[in-house]
Amino acid sequence: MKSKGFNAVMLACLWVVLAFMYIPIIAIIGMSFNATPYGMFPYVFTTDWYETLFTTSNLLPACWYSLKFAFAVTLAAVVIGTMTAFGLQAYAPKWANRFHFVLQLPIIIPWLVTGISLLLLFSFLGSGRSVLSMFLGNLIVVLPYVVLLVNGRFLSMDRTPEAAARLLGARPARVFFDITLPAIAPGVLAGGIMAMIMCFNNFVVQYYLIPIGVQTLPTLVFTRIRSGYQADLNALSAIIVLVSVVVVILLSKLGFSAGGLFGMSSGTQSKKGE
Amino acid sequence: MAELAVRNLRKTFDRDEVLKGVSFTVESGKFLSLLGPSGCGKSTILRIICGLETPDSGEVLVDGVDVTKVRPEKRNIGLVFQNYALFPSMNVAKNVGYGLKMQKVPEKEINERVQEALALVKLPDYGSRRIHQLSGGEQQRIALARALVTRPSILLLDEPLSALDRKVRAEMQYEIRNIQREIGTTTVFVTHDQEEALTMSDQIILMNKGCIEQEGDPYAIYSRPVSEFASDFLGKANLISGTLCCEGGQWYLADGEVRIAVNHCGGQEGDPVKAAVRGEYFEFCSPEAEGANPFHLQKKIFTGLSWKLIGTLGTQPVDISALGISADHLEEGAHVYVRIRPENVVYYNK
Repeated sequence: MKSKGFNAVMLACLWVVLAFMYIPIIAIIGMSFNATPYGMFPYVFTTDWYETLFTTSNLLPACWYSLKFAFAVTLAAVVIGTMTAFGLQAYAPKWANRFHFVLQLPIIIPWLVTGISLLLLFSFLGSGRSVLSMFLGNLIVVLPYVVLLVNGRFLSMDRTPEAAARLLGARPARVFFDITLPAIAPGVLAGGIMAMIMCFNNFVVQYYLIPIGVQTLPTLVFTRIRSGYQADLNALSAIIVLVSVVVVILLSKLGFSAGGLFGMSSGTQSKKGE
Repeated sequence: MAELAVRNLRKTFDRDEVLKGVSFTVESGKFLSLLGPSGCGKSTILRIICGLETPDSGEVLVDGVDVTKVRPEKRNIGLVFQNYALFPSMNVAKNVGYGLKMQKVPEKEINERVQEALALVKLPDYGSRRIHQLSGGEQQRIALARALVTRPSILLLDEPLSALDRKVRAEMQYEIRNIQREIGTTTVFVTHDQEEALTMSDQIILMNKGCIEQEGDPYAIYSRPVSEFASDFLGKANLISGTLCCEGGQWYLADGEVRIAVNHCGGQEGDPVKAAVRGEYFEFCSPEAEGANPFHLQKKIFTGLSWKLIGTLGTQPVDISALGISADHLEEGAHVYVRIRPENVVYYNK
């Protein structure tokens, strides 16, 4: 297994996979500076698309709307999800496991199905296609992820300091904010990031539930692709990539690796989070 | 300082009866050890005393006041956990001062009392350190300081030394006892280590399967175990079976050529009994000596302080522990004679 040839092949595979993942991302950045919108040559450098984006384009308002919307959903999901995960710990393992299973189901069910059933439900309830319906719909989609990530943190943490704090005179609410919350913070942060990304992205549920006259970024992009592609979208994509890179760098500066937060690291990377 | 009493504690977890009516009293300022194998219910008693667990029935009295229904944060009972349970997000001073902050003690007094507590556990300049920078022994001391700084009426210690290595453990045994004497807090110490219980306590309660097996001071509990379990758990005694007989007013345990003199404490001639004899109570003697019994040495193991001599007394296996000088000359396979004083033998009816 340790022969040189084998290692070289493995290494080549790694580079192919990385290239496969990163070439589209790099390509879109390059295209955002290209004069022709469809990625055709000759390559002529221009910043026109950025200018369009920040002046006449309707992408930026939709992007802001999506960000604000995703943030509101994330906030609600983090608060409700953390409380749910906290409550889950009070159950005996047998019941907690069953609840865990129930939570996993909404993750597996395709959003297509969730979207339709939510539209039917909200129509029946009377809220129909509205911002409220869209908010609740997205909340329902992201909530299980928050609960599962925070719950994972609870399962791996030491619960005795909480008992110690109570014996030192802290009321239960005080114990939660002083001791529990700092310990589960990485899980809460991971849940929040997950919720934010999924909600910002979630075309399917938003498409079903969005009211007329409101555009989130995913629904707007969908409409625009049907009516004719314009390269200010490339410019916006490049900016989003840049922001994502900055977020990942900031997180690792804080001592979290994105993989470690979601419980995917081998354990050697996330030191501060422990 | 307070007197602690528990009355008839019962607790069942999932049909598993962990405590079957346990009662005891600790006088003010005394050091009590709850000793027993894991799963005997000793930790559950501790959790009930401090309020982390509610008993199915029974009560906990502190200075005669029933606190069974009082919430844990209102009891002012200190507990040091087995894994120390320090707060990883706070530094040492914040950890130690946490209880005082909860009592709304002024900042300035908190700082003074934290310094005092750190001095008490001999880590005076550790205030600004992070928890993960401390060794196990240091964490233990900080946990002790944190539990004592609020001047609890009662201090509970839940196997606090079990995660430490042998040398640090011995040091901490001595230190905990010293600190306890100095401040005079009534203390309950839970351990499964008999040596720890014997060295540290004023009073020991030996527990087995949710019941109290024996209660007394360390010497009494070691030298006069009341049951087979007690003799085996405290220092692994040899159990020798035989029948009880009486000759000229002296009672013996007899088995083949083995005859061990005992002080009569119940039972009639011919009763099958088991005697418990500690390894260190055997002494070598000449074949003609009064009470001499044949011992066949099969294996000799050096343990540092003493020799462990494994062999048979008559037909029954026994371990004798002998100090270096008395056993240095013995070869494996040797046939020698040993005797035991009657006052060092306890026997139980089978």
